[in-house]
Amino acid sequence: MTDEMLSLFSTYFAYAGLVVSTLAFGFFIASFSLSRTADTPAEQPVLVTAGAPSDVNGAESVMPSLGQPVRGQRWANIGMSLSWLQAGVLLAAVVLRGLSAHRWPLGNMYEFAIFGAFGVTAAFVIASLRTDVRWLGVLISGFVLLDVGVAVMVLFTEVAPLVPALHSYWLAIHVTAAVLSTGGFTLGSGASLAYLAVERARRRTEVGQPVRFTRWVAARVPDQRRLDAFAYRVHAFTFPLWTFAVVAGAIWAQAAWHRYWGWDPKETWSFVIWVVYAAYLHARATAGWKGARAAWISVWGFIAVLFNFFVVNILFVGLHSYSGV
Amino acid sequence: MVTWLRWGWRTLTSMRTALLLLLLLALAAIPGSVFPQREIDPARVQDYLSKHPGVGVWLDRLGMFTVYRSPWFAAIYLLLFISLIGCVAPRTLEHARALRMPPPVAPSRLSRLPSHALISVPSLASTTVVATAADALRKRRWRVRVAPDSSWLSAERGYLRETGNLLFHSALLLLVVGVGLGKGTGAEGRVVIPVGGSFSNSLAQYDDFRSGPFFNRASLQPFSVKLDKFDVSFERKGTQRGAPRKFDAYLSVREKFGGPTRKELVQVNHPLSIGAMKVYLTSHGYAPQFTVRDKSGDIVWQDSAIFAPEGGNLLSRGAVKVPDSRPQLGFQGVFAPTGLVDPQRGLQSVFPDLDNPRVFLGAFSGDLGLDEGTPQNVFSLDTSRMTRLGIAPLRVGDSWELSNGARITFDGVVRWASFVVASDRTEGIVLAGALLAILGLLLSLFVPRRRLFLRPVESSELGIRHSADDTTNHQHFEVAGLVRSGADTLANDTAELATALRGTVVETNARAADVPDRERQEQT
Repeated sequence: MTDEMLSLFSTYFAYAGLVVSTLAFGFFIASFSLSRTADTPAEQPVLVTAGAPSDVNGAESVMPSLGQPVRGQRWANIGMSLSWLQAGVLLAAVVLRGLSAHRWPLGNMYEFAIFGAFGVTAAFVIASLRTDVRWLGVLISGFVLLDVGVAVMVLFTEVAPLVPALHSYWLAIHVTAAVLSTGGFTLGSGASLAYLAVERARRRTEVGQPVRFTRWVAARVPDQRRLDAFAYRVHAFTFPLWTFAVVAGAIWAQAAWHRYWGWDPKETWSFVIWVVYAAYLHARATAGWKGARAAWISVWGFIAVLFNFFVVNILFVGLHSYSGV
Repeated sequence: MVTWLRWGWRTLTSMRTALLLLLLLALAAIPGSVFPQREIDPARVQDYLSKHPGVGVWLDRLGMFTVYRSPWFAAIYLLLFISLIGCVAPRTLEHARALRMPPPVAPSRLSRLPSHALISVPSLASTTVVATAADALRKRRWRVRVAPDSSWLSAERGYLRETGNLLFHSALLLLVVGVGLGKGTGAEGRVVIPVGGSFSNSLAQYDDFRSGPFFNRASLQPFSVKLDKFDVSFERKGTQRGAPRKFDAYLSVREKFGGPTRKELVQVNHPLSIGAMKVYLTSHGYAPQFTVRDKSGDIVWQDSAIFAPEGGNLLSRGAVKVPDSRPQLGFQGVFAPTGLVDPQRGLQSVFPDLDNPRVFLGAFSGDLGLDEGTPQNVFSLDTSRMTRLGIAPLRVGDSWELSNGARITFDGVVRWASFVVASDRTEGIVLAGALLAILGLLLSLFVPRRRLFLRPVESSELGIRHSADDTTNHQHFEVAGLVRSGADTLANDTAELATALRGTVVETNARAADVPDRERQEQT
């Protein structure tokens, strides 16, 4: 198979990833819509998960339980299966791109975006092996949908070799660690956003303010304690990986740019992201900052991650400019 | 007064202050990425100031163009590190003390603890069981305390978590100290060498040299290099036409006066180490070669002139200054490696390689101003005291006879490579700091710290019946645990202990039984 054919198939798989993630998104949204809260007695699922309190205003969580097929749950399961397919398809897109270019497929924005979409999906499906993450499906498949969409429609560029500055094995180490960390942070931020939704629903219900949509969302995600624990686990795993990505970048910079740290905009924003997530970990151990405030810090960290990828690469002048389009 | 100081110190070293300082540090670093910084690109700063004169002056006063060297940024990270030291030092002492203290006494009512189980062990006396359990736990690296009368057992494990935490924070300190020392004792010099040219490591030969206050400029390490060959190639096909593909600089290196030379290859990402210094290939360009003859035919200037490239196709600008002719001559030049003359815009370059070298020269005669004593830009002429003689395009081999009888010949083009020679003595310390920090981080996040207690229980209290044909004498023990921080692995610990005692877990409230919900209780 020639390089051109490999590249073409890689692009086909990327488009397939777009289709699959759209379908998964649809099924996850459907599972949300079709779940019922305690207000409609018809399909009340029975809570089996130990120790889970009711969260919002007496309405019990509709977290799907074992052996109790409910309409919403079935759709969510289909969404989960599609997510596994999505991971496979995006992996194929990444691998074929690398084969067609004869190098590690992380040399431009298009490749970062596709690899990143794979990373997020992989984090999601791997997390699903340990715990029930179907509630995150909407956010994750929505994010991947946007990511791959932007990649194939805006960022796409033909396969080409890299400039000599990028001829180093550090490319595989540093950029991969950074992209996979982004996947982890996406997962963690999804959990934090869910936590903040539940928090908002709880607070507004307490004071009697109207809160329909947030309450609807809050009834479909786990309780705050579990959301907080899940977010913490994901961030605790991703933070060392991000630290390693920054350190690897510094080691590479020493070899390529004769200094390990120069406050290049990308270096600066990687530092900002690191500090914000360090603050998140600190906040969870500080009285008065646990819970919602910590969740907000992690959301700001994720905004910095998105800024670092989209804005700094394209708009800011610096040594990382060849990571642009 | 002392109360105030104590309050101040306690506030500074509190978690909340550290948290706020961290968020402030993140915020403070952002402007340095938005505004051009003097230490990265002073020309862009000048450009910004000339485009935004009013705002620019105020931004400069606030330190927005030197964010990372500004006092307010330093204040934030210095406070943060003082807070860190103030917190880590006492915690290290506390931890050292805790490492030597035995685990606490087992509580009398184990059923009150969050994780509780009942183990049934056949046939052994309870004191033997406690001793066996102690051995089994010690083998699994628990610290065990047994009651003097062997009536209970208390064990603790996971001290490595706090060790990792302290290691992480200390390593950060080591890293920052290393960076500071490195800047103080380090040096970085830039030099441009045309192919065929050479360079000796002495201050005068550098184009630019910066060093920290503790670097001894007078005793630079002796070595000299000659640029024998410089292979450069660009992409010729496809959408990436013109993109750089290869930069291989071949140097002859001599480290001792009169000593042997060795051949080395320097590429981007592959610097050359010469003793404590490293030579990095950073940039490249073109140096057109000229011969200038005066009206009697004597050569008054013959050399390659380093031109400065702009843009992807390397259209380059430079100057030739001929101080030895009477009157002095100067030429302002634009060079294109693959030249195309555009009727409106003049000479353009359409490809970065030397496919069609062309130069446009503007000739001037008069006073170059080199005797004034003020330094001049190498790439441009100061024509304030000169008269213009004309402009001419030249191909390789062409000569241009000027109106005053002088003649300039465009002999050819050589490439130049720019190098940075850098010395960083603390990079090992900084790397060690970074790696230790990662190790400490992993330990502090993933090693769970927990306690385990064991007490025998009278079977009659439990009301457990055994089947009629079960004649072994069972002893029952309560095992309970507490997670101090980290993941809840108590169910596994209990099961392991039971197996080690050849017993069985009769009942437990530990959460391992739940499938698929296996999330553990998080207590920081």
